Amino acid sequence: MKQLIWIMSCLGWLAIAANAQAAPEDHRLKVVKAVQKIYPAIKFEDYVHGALAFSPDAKDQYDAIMAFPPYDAEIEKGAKLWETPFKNGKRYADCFPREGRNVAGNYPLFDAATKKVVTFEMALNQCRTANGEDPYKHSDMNTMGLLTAYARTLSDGMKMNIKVEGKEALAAFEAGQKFFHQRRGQLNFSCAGCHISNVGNVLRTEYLSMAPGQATHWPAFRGGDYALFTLQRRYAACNQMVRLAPLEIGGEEYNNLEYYHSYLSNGLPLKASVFRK
Amino acid sequence: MKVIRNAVWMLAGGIFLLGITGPVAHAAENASGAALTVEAAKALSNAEFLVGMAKNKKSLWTTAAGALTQAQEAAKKQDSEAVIRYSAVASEQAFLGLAQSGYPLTGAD
Repeated sequence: MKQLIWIMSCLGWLAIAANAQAAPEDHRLKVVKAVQKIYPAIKFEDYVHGALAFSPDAKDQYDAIMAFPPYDAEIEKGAKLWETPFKNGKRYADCFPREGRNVAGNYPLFDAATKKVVTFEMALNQCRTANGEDPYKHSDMNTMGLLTAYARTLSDGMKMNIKVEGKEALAAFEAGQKFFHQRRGQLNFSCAGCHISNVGNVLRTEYLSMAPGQATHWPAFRGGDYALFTLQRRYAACNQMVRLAPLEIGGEEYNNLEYYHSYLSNGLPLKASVFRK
Repeated sequence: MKVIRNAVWMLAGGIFLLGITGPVAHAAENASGAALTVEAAKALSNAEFLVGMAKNKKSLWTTAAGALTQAQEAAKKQDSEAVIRYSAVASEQAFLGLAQSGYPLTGAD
């Protein structure tokens, strides 16, 4: 009898855990289906191209630029940062499995010990501090930006693989989900209002990209001067555009947002250091 | 008659002098660091409180922040009227930002 109760309670906990994981996955599938319903001709794997998926001309321009990216020198600076040993002789590659190859798709992850979301940038900084170096500022594109411009390319092709396991991870996911769906700034926009409800419409002369796929292609080199943008720098810029005072890059709100936002891209291949208008 | 004429000249002279020295005296008083009016100081304090609250709630609009900066700049110049005007904008925009966090979510499940 005791054994039966024990088995039943274990099964019960398993069901609860499965249900907790099911909720983010159900939501992701709902978002993907919402896009597929409006644009059935756009293949799921092409969601990584975002706004380019709506304009063959823009996609051709992108392909031409990506054949010989004018910002190659910046990526090389990032490679140098990655490969230069710390003062103690260790390297970034020593901090990650497979020397840092095919790891970025697992980030952000939820650290059960600290009960916080850990982004790839935070993991890089953890590597730095563990080896006696000062952490980089997340908002500094000349250090953290350039480092990730190279480090993330080591995971090109890897499928996004964000996990939400456990009550606290779910809470962080839901905090990010709320942020994405909350109206903000004097212009009263939400991320979802553009990138789920108005996908494919034009705003500020550009097609609104779909939320699934957005988190796969960062950092990006944007515009005529190829300014380097990490994903969270882009969050700050978007917030500024809708007249919300941007939040801290690398802060809890943007970390939770990236956790949710990246989850929406699960199953899609990463490609870092791309061009965007 | 002469007395009346003299009185008229004195009155005209006095009015003339008041006309040129009044504003100068007022400006001098301001430039010397006279305090803002009570109303202006209160308006600025309220605006700073509301903007601070909106910032803590991660709901601060750039319009509120910008208006508060302008109010603070006006306060440095002791321009009470401008302080009141910009503080009102800052307070209103900060309040709207705070209220916005209670709006229903868009496209939620």
